[in-house]
Amino acid sequence: MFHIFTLQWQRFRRKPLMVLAMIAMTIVFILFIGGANSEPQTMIPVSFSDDIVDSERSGWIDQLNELDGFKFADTEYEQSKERVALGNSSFGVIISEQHYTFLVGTETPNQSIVEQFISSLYWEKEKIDLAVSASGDDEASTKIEKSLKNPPIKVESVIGESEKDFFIFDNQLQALFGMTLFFAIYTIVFSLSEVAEEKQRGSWDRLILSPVRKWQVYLGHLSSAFVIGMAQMIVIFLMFQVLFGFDIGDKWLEILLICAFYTFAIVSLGMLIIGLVNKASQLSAIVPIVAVSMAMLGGAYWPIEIVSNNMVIIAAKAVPITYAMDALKSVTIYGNDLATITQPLVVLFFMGVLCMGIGINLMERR
Amino acid sequence: MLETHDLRKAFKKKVAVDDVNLYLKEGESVGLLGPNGAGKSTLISMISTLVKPTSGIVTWNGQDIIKQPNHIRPILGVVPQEIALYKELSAYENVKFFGKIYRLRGKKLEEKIQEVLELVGLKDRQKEVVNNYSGGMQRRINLAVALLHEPEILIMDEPTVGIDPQSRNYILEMVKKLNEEKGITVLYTSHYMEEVEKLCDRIYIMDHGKVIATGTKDELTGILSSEETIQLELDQSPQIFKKLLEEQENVLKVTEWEKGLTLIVSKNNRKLAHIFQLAEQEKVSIISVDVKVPSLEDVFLHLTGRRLRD
Ligand SMILES: Nc1ncnc2c1ncn2[C@@H]1O[C@H](COP(=O)(O)OP(=O)(O)OP(=O)(O)O)[C@@H](O)[C@H]1O
Ligand SMILES: [Mg+2]
Repeated sequence: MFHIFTLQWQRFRRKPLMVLAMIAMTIVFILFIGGANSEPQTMIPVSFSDDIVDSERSGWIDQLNELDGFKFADTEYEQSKERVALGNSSFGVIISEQHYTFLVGTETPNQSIVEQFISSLYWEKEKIDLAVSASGDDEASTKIEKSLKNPPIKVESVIGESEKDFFIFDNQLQALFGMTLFFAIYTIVFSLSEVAEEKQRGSWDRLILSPVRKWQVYLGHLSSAFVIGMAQMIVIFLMFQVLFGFDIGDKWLEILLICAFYTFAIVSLGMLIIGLVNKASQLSAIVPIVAVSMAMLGGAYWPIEIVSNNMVIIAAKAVPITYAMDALKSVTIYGNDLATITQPLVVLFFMGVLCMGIGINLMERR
Repeated sequence: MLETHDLRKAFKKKVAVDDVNLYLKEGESVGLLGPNGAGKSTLISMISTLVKPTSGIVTWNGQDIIKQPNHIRPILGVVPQEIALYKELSAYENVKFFGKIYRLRGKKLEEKIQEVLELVGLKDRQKEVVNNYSGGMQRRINLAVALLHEPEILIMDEPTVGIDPQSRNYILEMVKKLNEEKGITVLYTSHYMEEVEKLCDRIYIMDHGKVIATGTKDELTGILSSEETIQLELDQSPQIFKKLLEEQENVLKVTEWEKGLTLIVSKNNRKLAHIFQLAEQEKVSIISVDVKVPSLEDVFLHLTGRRLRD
């Protein structure tokens, strides 16, 4: 198995063009769709009216930044207006003592999430103020804040009717994840097509006659396709985090796990496709059809949250991309941890096992 | 001894190999001759345990190798009909990979690699990428790979197809040496008569999935001992003359070649005089007459009514 794995790398070094081309395509498309600005669109400029003294401002910013998925930054009013006008941020916020104002460029669902949050801050603050003035105790304010941080009973407020009604749309991460998952399909399936070519070429027969076991031959190919696919995705993620300043966050363990399960599912799907078509040459016709339709259904091109067609939503459930996108967004935008993404990972795993089983069976039957 | 008993392979509609019985004694060199689509590749794939037969068995020293392929695989060297190599790698890298697959390591591996490369005459150019090799050189590497693990039986599927005469002779000489000097048992598939004639002790002729004749070269040509082949060179298109000849009692078969006609006639009667008489009568002038000892080609023609390379 090891020799077959290393052989693929030896060969990859001689013709790395396909993988490099896929990485280049991914980069171009992400930049094109997601924009290359160094700050993400979810950066929201916050300005303060004069009735808020400088010392209170950073407290406001800290409180605002407790909302996951957004980055609030203290910005001069004029600059805020400019950012919003240029579309670098879809909206801005102006905080005053008694009220708040939105600077709106384009309507996005994100705005209502932020608004809900800010209004809750005001609501909380007002309660504290009332309590303070009623007791006449200056220290009461800090006491109450403390007790609010560790309440005896915590009431979680649910925004909207269901979570789906409000989602945070991060154009950059949407493009990054969507395109990366999409182009990885090509790399993985075309690397795997070596199995089909090997059979056509007759070198497969040589391997079968040798002391190497058949499962080792399969495993050698599968693992090399897996590693190439993983490497491509991780390289792109790192590149965009480091070079282009996309805010992926720091949950790399979760991201690695998602990539691994997704790659496994696609490797298996590749085996199924190769099992179904007879010739390696037919793959170049089939793979784009499969990849593009999966990307459309699974929300790689546009967020699946905006899809309202029930048929599409149901069909999306059969597509690995859906689960990988969901898990990646969950971890990065919403800051969730491993426990929340176990379900999509489990689904990806079973999809993989199923496709692999059918795929190898089809191949062996011929 | 390697034997097949009523070996048969049927694809959906087509019977590719039709109840074939053949055997291969140790140290023998056996040829398998047949036109395109005769079923040669399918037959030897079954013998090399790569394809499961529809029915029938293959045995090696009495053991069923379809059920127990591992009895024979370690001593089998198979040269596929295709160039079964990784073309973007060098000859050396290819040979090395297959050596490792056969669990050769370290010094022994390196020695073996150089030995087989030397044998096929490509030691000097081993660092070159296989893709840049000529067809003949690719074929030689294809053969070298099959020799790495010192097989006792070498099964070759048209190892010289589509290459220059020089490489072809090289390969033929090499295989002959391997057979004669190292005692390797050879099963050689081809649709070139002269290769099999030169190389093989015994020959099987296949057509449409069946073995239609078998024996040594002399035995096979003996089939034609009661017949003779006469080749006529004529000065004009022989259509009418051909018809006339076909009607003659002693003429068994008439075929055309570029410059005239080939006749198969029964032996021992005064056919030549008779033919000259007919030619004169039809005003066809005969430029030359050639009475030939029958070749395998003629045997094939006789058995199937077709030429080998149609
Ligand atoms: N996998 C297959 N499925 C269906 N038919 C097949 C298959 N393999 C071979 N055949 C058919 O079986 C017949 C014998 O094929 P085979 O390749 O054994 O012939 P061959 O003698 O090796 O010919 P060639 O000289 O062209 O190599 C052919 O008619 C071919 O079309
Ligand atoms: Mg063949």
